[in-house]
Amino acid sequence: MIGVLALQGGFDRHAKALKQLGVDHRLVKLPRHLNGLTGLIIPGGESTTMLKLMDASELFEPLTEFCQTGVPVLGTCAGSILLCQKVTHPDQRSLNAIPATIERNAYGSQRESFCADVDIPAWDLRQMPVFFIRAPRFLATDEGVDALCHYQGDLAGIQYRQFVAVSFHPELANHTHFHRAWMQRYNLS
Amino acid sequence: MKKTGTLEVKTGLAEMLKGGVIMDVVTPDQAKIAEDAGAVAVMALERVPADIRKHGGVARMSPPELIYAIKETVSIPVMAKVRIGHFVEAQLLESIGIDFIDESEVLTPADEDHHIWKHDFKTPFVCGAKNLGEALRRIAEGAALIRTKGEPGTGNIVEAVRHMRHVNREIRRLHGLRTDELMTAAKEMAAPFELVRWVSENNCLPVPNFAAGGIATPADAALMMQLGAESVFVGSGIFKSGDAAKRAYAIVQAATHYDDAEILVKVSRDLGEPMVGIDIHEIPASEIMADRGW
Repeated sequence: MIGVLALQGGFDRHAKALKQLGVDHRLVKLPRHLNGLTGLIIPGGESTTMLKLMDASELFEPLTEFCQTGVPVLGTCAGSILLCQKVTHPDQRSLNAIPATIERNAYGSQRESFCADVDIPAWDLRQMPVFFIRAPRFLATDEGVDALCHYQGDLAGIQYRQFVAVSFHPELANHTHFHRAWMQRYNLS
Repeated sequence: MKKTGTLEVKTGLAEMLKGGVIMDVVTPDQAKIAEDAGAVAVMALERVPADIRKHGGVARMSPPELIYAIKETVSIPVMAKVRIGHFVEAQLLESIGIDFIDESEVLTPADEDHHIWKHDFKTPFVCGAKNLGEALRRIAEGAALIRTKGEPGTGNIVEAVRHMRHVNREIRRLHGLRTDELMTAAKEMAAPFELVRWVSENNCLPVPNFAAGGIATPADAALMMQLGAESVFVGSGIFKSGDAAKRAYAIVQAATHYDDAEILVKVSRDLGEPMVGIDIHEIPASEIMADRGW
């Protein structure tokens, strides 16, 4: 059972991708929804809003603890912001999971949002169309964090222990390659 | 190959606003209150709909300095309204770098026959609709997000409910039609055939579907979500109420936990005075905002 954090944001399309792959999923809005999950997706959306909603639902501490249990967690866009230990532009707190620094909204306003093809060689994914929507950018990573993919020289995806974080939206493209590769990698399928 | 301004890039932002609340704000201070309460975006405007309704006159796009000041205050997306058909106001907003443009019946229309050709812009547009035909005409023009029109500035949810039910009922009806019946349906609802066929095949709109117009309480927001809205816009309902910050926070909770009555009760307690509502039947026909645009 894979959880999709559904306080706000792009949970819908992640859930659709999992459904297409025939994987059971559960929308996570309250602490009890974390029980028994084998994987968790933290979608895009507004990270500030999600932090507020986590506080309101008393989900911030349980999620932080969940990230220490070794269960695979995937963060996309705002989900990455919530996973990285240091957040800039502006500074904000996080679930403290990945020793990396991420800059919010690094490419400008929605006018500058774009679709582009990226390669994830380690996952054997090439020329995969993905969406950068008011996207963040990874600025620095500590030891143990591996680069997963780049977009024009910018680090766009990282991997650390059981965490995967990408600055883009694979779920907005009409394919499930990314989700399938992630689940295979972590034996979730 | 990098592509900007495509329909998928535009609807991509709308997808990220799902399960959230977009709040009307008229000052940077209000924008901060909205962001602190958990708004997923703010809508910058000069006067909230209740004041536009009260004071009359021509309501236009907000002045650039106000929009810049609000953009500098918050990190969440900033939207702003343009008059129906006023594509130059939209050009200004795109140049400012606004994240979403609302071609809105709340402002005084600039063109009573034509809406903006929204494909000309990289910035996404949201447009209001009372029924499916109107929604599909706006989508054909390039809208990346549809919302109910409701009746803005009234604190009365009745029109938003009517519009949401109408759109969803027509979607269900199209889904049940045979292919050889779709051309007649397209003719009847004055909507482009290809979009009618798409809706019939997919049983949903090709863009996200939000609610707006008359939301004043957490229960109103949850009602619209349970009727199928994927997010809500709140205009006068927050900053025309007794305790704006508290009500804003409560409506944000309601949009997330819309199907959890226990949480809805908790957030609905001790909110202070809601905005004063208006009975739709007391509004003269000439002042009905939902009838602006076609």
